[in-house]
Amino acid sequence: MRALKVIIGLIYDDKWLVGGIAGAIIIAKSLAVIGVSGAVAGILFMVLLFGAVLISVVREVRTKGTG
Amino acid sequence: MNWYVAGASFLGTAVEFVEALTIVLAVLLTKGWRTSLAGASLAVVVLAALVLILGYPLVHIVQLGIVQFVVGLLMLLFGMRWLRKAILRYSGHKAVHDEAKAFARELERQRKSGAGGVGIDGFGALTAFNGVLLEGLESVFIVITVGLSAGALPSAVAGSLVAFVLVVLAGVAFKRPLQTVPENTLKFVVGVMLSAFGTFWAGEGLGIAWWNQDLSIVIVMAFYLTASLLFVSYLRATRRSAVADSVHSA
Repeated sequence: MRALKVIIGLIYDDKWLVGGIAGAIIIAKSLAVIGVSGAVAGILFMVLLFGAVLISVVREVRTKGTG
Repeated sequence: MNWYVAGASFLGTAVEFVEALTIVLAVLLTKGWRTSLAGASLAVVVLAALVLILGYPLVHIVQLGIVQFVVGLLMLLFGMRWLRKAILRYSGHKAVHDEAKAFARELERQRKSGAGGVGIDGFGALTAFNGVLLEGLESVFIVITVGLSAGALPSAVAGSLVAFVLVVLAGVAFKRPLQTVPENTLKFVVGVMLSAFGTFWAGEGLGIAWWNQDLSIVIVMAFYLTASLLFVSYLRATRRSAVADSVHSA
């Protein structure tokens, strides 16, 4: 139950991160479906996922200032 | 005893057990042994029940791709959240977790909860459960396919059991030195590790054929660690220049 609350809380708190992960998944699935090679699709998936973390961090830094 | 089958099963399942051990150790070091063992034990029970009830047809009934995607997605959600927090902490945009204060608070919480307090963290237990269940399922698949294709299932089971015992012994040996790593550093590394496992499994579930299969996890880990450290240095530099600008203008 607590784990479920954490997941719901995560989606609510980190919309940019969760949205970025969802976007990366959609793109990776599309690449897999059209038959892009594993190495290319894997690298792109990895980079897109880190991009989601990056955007989420930048958003937080900009919203809360230099801390 | 068919030694080729035992050897193949040993090597194949050892890789899966090491991956499961990595996650169990990560949860153990950050959330405590009760949480870690509760999740891992539950996964072993579920796995044993699946094998006993379904038997050999398990390989055809369980859609490994779906399990990989769901487990990978959960690992990604938790791992990337930790990684994000670690980047903010290390770049000075979030207060560094005071380990001594947190330890004192945890002791106080346990004291208040009394002897009846179980002290199991739901998220940590779920993470350990997912990791052990998925890796366990993959190990069962390896044993069944290798064992049945060569007509030597007992040899495949024996090879897998030896791998299991050796990996558990390695885990016991590594636990103590890992406990000396500072908590903040540990959380950073665990965030990177969970994100890497999540990326690999979710990717496999989506149909990505990773380069050199499980070896890709190490590459993904190295990428996340390097990229995170570079990003931390960039954020530190911009923070320093922002502080210097505000001092000059004051």
